[in-house]
Amino acid sequence: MPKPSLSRFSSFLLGGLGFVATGAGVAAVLAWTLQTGAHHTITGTFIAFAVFVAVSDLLEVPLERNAVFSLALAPGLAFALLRRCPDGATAATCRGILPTHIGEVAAVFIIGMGAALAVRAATRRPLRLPVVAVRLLVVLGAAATYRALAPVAPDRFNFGPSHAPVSILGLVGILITVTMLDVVLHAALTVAGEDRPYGRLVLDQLRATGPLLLSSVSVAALLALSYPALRAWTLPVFMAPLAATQFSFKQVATIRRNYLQTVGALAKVPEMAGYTEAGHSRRVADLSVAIAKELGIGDPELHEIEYAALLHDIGRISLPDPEEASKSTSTLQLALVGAGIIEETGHLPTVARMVRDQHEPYRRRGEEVNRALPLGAKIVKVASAFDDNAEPPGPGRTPREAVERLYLGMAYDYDPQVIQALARVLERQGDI
Amino acid sequence: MKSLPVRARIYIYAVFITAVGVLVFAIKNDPSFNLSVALGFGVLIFLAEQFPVVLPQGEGSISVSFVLTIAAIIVGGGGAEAGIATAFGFLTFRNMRNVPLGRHLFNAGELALAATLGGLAYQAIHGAAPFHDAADMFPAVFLPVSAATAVQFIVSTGLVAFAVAIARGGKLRVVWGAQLRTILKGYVAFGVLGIILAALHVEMGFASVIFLLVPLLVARNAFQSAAQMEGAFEATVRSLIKAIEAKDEYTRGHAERVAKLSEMTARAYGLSAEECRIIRYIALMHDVGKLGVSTKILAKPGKLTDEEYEHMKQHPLRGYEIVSEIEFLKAAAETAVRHHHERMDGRGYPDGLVGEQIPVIARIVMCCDAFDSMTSTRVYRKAKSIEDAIVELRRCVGTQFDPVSLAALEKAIAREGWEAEPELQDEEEAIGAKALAL
Repeated sequence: MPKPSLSRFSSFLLGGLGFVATGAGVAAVLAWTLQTGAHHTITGTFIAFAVFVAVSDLLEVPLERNAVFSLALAPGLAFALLRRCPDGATAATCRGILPTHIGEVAAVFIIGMGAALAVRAATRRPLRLPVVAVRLLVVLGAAATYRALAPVAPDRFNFGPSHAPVSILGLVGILITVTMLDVVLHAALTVAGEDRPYGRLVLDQLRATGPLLLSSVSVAALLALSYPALRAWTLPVFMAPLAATQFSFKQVATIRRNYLQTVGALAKVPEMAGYTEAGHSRRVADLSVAIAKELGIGDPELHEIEYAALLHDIGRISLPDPEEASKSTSTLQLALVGAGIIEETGHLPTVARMVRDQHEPYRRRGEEVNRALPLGAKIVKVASAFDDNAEPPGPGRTPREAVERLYLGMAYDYDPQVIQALARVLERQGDI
Repeated sequence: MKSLPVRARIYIYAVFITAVGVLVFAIKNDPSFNLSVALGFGVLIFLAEQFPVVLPQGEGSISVSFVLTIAAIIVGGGGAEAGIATAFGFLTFRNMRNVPLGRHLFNAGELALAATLGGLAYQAIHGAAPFHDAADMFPAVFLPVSAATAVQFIVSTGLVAFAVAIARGGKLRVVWGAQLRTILKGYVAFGVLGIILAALHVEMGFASVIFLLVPLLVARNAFQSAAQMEGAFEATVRSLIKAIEAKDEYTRGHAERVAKLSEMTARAYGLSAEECRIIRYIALMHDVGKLGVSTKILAKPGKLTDEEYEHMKQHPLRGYEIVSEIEFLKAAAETAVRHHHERMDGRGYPDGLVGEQIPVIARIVMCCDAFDSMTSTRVYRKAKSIEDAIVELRRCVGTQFDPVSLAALEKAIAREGWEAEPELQDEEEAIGAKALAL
């Protein structure tokens, strides 16, 4: 993700400009709405959509793992489908006239996104320029497709109650097709940073943003169709469903963050009490997530592996005192206790299973490989063993030596595939 | 229905019959009555009810059908269509769930009555003529829709609050007040969506309405998973805390009870819903720092040596260290986890704060923590009765506890009742130890 790399002064200047532009735009649109209401001007339309693009882009929808979804796609796509009405046209005369020029679509979207980018730079939020570029391509793609189809069947995309179902379906169909471009291009943006197969990334992207794309597309179609009638009122009115979407996703993101942080904090309790090395659970969690990504695992399994790694030692708190931690009680027993604690929550059955199976060897001598073991359990086992070997650092405990010791248990205690992934992760981090 | 008192039954049927009467009145007084609009919205309401929206974080749930009711009022130009649509949508809805007949009739009647009255308010301001061009709707529609929303909101919450007050007892003002606060925001947002829906319907018919439902459904699913995740989150915290306190048999269940008491007390104190939620989590975790204390000290009968006591006094700091890693609890951890062993006279630990210096949340948790320890059996003494514990707490007001928090605790217990920890076993006669909550 590109970080804002502007100097303080220029970011201040840019941000100031962005704020002034967006603020003035919002004020102008409000004044225009209140004054002209149902009347129509082309300049007013352009300004209004640019402002709508800027505002809805700043209404970021938080997704998993720090990704965000920009709602600017909805007004952008709507403007691409908009029909151009002459100055002073009424709702009746405006229907069914030529679309706006594709250059105008590009200009409005770029101006709106520019204002939003300036505000981002000033507030030191990530700019995400590649994402902006993808969105622009999608909007232009929609505009081009629509223009290619509209002359062939001008009536099919006509407005008015009698044609409404057909025109909405037509528009939504076009938009859904075009937004697949968004999914494919976004997956292409992430492919450089990860070793996961491209098809897998496309599916992950579709799972994460599919419902939001569908929302944007529906709002865009309705916006474009109702604009000739509602005109200036369209924009304030359509902010409502977009704001509801953003609010609901923000709730999810907040609770997910609280959840993860709380589990992380409580996982530290055994460390604080001296049952395990300080920082063990966090390090094992980070390493497990890295290994899992290396093996091509995506959300939501990634979250479960993170929870399992954070909580893999929670069973130790059942021991009366830390001194007894290493003696007497078997790892099997501790794993079972830990799994029992997690099962008690009633909500994390997969995580409980991973914690229970973390002590299971990959293969017992003379037996077949245990294929029923969850991959997450095997990953946590390797990550935890590595951390035990490497932390705290000392002679004979470098990362390289720690991995080498794991190789000794390969194919019996540990899954060779997981150890190889660990080695690749450490290599990439420059540790070995 | 069996369990309902007679007056509740009379109330339910009175509401239903009034709803029918008002609906007939509305139909007679609507010159532009349109049955197809009424049934169309009725089907949509029926469908919407299959997907209830549950707002996370205890904000209650509002039915999406309210959006459709407002839209039906605008499109139909009065209460008749909205009333019929609501009655239709909710009466047919019963087949899907096992709701007792009385409750079912009450729900349908109450909502239909609210919708019809809302529509009549709309009609009184705007007149019965429906819009033919969505462009004419703005801004003319805002005032009558606000009136309709207000009437629906007040009638519906009022009828429900009255029913709750009759069926379960409790003061009408309290029940209603709680409802008004929690769902007002939802009604405002849904009113706006209703206007959009009506504009689209006027412009493009029912097909467009279905497309507007797409973003709403996506948002609804997100709310749903947020609510689910919040549930999982709380269950996880509870389970982990239970596991942590399982080490010390005498504090088993303590955190959970203190959490419940603290939330009740915070509510009686007049803290906001969000603060109550935070105090619940904070109280649940207020003693996590104890795990660092050796079991031998925790379970030691009789007086601790100075050294052991110093070690014990570290636990609020250790607990603070852990809980402050959780962003949304950080501020509260600083106050409540760190300071739950301060005393009003400044002789507490770790920082020796005096009186007002101790944050409110900490003062509440202090009271509830002490109350629960007194009413539970400990190594060194038997459990006190609730009354004795309150007397003991009152004796220490000013030196150890805050009078306002204690008053709130008493109020909460009087209002909601409290069951102290069930007695574990007969313990030896109490050793003369002070009722100092550890």
